[in-house]
Amino acid sequence: MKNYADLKELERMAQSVMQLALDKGANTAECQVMRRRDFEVELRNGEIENLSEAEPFEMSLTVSQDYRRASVSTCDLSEDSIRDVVDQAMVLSKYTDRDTFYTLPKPEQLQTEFKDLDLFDAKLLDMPVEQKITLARELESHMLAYDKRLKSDGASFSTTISAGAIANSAGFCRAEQRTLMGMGVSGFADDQVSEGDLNVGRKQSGSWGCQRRHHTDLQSTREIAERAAKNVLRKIGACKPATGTFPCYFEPAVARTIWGNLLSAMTGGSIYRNESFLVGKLGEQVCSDRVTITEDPFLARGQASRNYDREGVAKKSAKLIENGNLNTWLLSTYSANKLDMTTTGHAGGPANLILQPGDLDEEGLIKTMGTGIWVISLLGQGVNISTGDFSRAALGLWVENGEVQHPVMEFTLNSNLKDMLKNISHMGNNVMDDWSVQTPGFLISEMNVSGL
Amino acid sequence: MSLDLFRLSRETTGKVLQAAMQRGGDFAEIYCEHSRYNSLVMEEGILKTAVASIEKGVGVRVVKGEKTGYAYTEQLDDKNFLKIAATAAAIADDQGSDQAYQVAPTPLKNYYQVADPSIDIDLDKKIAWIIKANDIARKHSDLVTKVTISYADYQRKIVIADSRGRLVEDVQPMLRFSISVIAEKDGERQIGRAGDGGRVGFSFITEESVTKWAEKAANEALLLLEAKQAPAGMLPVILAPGDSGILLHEAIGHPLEADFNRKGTSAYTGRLGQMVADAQCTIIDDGTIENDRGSINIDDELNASQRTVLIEEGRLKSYMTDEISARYFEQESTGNGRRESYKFQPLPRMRTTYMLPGGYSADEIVGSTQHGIYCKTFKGGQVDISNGNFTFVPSEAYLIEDGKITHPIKNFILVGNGPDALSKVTMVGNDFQMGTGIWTCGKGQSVPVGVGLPTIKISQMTVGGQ
Repeated sequence: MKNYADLKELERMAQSVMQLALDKGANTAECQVMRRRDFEVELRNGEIENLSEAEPFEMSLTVSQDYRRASVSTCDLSEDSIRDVVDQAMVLSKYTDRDTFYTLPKPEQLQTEFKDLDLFDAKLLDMPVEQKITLARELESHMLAYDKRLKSDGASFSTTISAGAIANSAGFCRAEQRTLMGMGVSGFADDQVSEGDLNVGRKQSGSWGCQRRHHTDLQSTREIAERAAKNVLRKIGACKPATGTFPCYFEPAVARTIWGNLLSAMTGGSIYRNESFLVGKLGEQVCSDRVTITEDPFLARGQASRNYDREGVAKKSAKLIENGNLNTWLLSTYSANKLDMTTTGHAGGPANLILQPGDLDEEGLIKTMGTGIWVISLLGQGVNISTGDFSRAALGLWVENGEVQHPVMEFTLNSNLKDMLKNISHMGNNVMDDWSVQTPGFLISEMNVSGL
Repeated sequence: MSLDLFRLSRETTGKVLQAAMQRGGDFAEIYCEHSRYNSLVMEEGILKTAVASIEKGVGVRVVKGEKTGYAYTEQLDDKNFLKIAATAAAIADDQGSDQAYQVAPTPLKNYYQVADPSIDIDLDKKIAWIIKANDIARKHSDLVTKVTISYADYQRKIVIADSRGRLVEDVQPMLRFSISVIAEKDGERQIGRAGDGGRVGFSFITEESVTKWAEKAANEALLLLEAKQAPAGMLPVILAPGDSGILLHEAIGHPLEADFNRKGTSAYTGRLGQMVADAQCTIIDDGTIENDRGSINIDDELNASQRTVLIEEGRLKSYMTDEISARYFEQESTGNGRRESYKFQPLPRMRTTYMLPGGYSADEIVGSTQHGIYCKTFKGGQVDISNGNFTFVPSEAYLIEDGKITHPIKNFILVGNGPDALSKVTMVGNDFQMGTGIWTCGKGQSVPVGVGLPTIKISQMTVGGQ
């Protein structure tokens, strides 16, 4: 198989930087070396608008002396420059305070078995630029052909081919290469506004895309284009909904952001800092019993598949949330030390997360909801992980007696994540496996809606 | 000339430009950047993290009409410079020419002359201020349970040469000092944040300023412990002077960036010359304020920084352009072409966006409101430029009852629609202030920006409480 980079060479490089630091007196060292080849083409109305390429090559190093830690990074990988930044790291680490919670993983926690996760598509190395342009062009023309009201805000195709090595003085050293390609299209359309509305230039926009590790897994351009088109068209004619308390349906793309909030509240850093609404809740019921989240790091071709975490700690499959019960925190060695626990292999974040689906399809969920809001996008910050307070602007569809009536916008959804997670009354069976979080949509029985 | 820093000579620069223009094109430029970044974080009373990083690279861009070819390299030698030039050149498809290019230095006006760049200051001095801030915040109240101090400085040296013969260099300093405080009472936790910074020297940090930030952060956390749940529905909203300018950034700033208007996706496309806000509103985007976080001597494609009037007495006067959109609209660029680093191409971006003062006093404005809310500080915001919907998230806010500021409130955001909200600005105060928040704007790339506002009243906005 053709390779992007000489992985052994990258491993040697990471190890030699690490060794340089140890030779200069560091007690521990962690080094990452990463090189990438990026390509992107964007076109609009059939014309190429942007073509860009780059090949960055970067190194970062964390050292400690007597538990005093410092980090440096550079993209100048000449010998002199590397010697300079290693020296700089050693100097910096004399200034920081002793932090005895900073240790590297224990040797027995490191991964030693490396499954083939099929994350590299060698064929991408030789994929002709013309083919990438053709795919972007197809996406745009399919979207424009879907409805004559649609205009294009551009279509793109991008690829990233990367190789990275991680080495640390606990005894880990490993390099891997990966590919990732994505394509997407954005559209917009003029929107009508009611008489007297000052927003006479109002438009609605929408997009869709697909990202995969292997070329053969990409969805068809027609499928992606249709979704993008529908994402624009379904917003046309939106008005403000009434203020009140309503059930809400979060479609998969929106559901994913709520799981993101849950996951950040489970992260070791939030827990030891006492900055999570889940502090003290380990082993307790924190979600509706319909919620089961499994982490599967070994999914072939998965977006977030990995054998080991950023510290080289072995990954394992586990149920993070089981029938609503909080089984685990997401810990790195540092946060585990702070909490007097053991690392769960989550340095650098979780791997693929699989939500257990329910019985109902999307139509069934809407029928079950009766009267409420189908949420299609959320806007703005407004989530406080520390308290769980949740207040975000949204755009959606107004549903009455199980039937979609008209789009709604310029309103907010307000609640607290603690309540929202417990109020998940139904999980759908419409799992979207496009992202590292594979989730269906779900119903939340009650949200405060602020509109008119 | 700092071209040496990138292993470039004026002669090579000419050759690279020639290679970039080999297939034609309206213009090409070489963008060289050397950035150094330092950060220190104190958490739980100890200096936990010290990070230093260096970014150094060269990018070549070729522009033909609305088309752009771009490539960059971090391996700085002639072979790679010519290679990226050829990659970028592929966007054009003309005959081109063998024209030789020569560049000559162009002097710049400097809006951030700094005598004591933080990047050169001893670590001990930086750490001393961090310890000081931590002590003040910790001692402020028994309810304070956690203090985090985050200090960062960077220096960005850029050298840009283009096919129009210009060669410019700029050194952009930046300093940021921020404090976050957690206070707890009866099992409830709240966070308060404060800080300041800009393109300033190290002497910007003083005993007085550190005390002010630490107390402000602690007081905000304490105040939120007493806050009630915010109401829901349409209410009058009064914005305090300063950082409330985030409203302008979201509601009108982004939709007036010229790339959206060139592509026709903005709610303001085609509305130049029309009334889009109340006649009391004059809104400026300015890159020329001394030492301000959003200031630039030159934009990242060699157009001079300027003070651009976006809206004059309610009427839409100008978009914010980069070079591509300026050519599209057949006008001079407003100097808003900015990029995060050599890894990115320039886009129309804001600098410091603010509204000029009006005639009312803050007391008159608050006094005119029976039932509404008063917002003082903010966490951030977001906008959908096509339909004009925007949100921004207050951190310190109060209820107004019978013309008086009363109880602190929490857990809500404000949502509005740009053209609608700006037409409902019924009162503009005479108490203009520049914001002190450390704002970073994200549009695929992060750039530092500033905001400013006098007290204003928006007669009706959706308040997203319960």
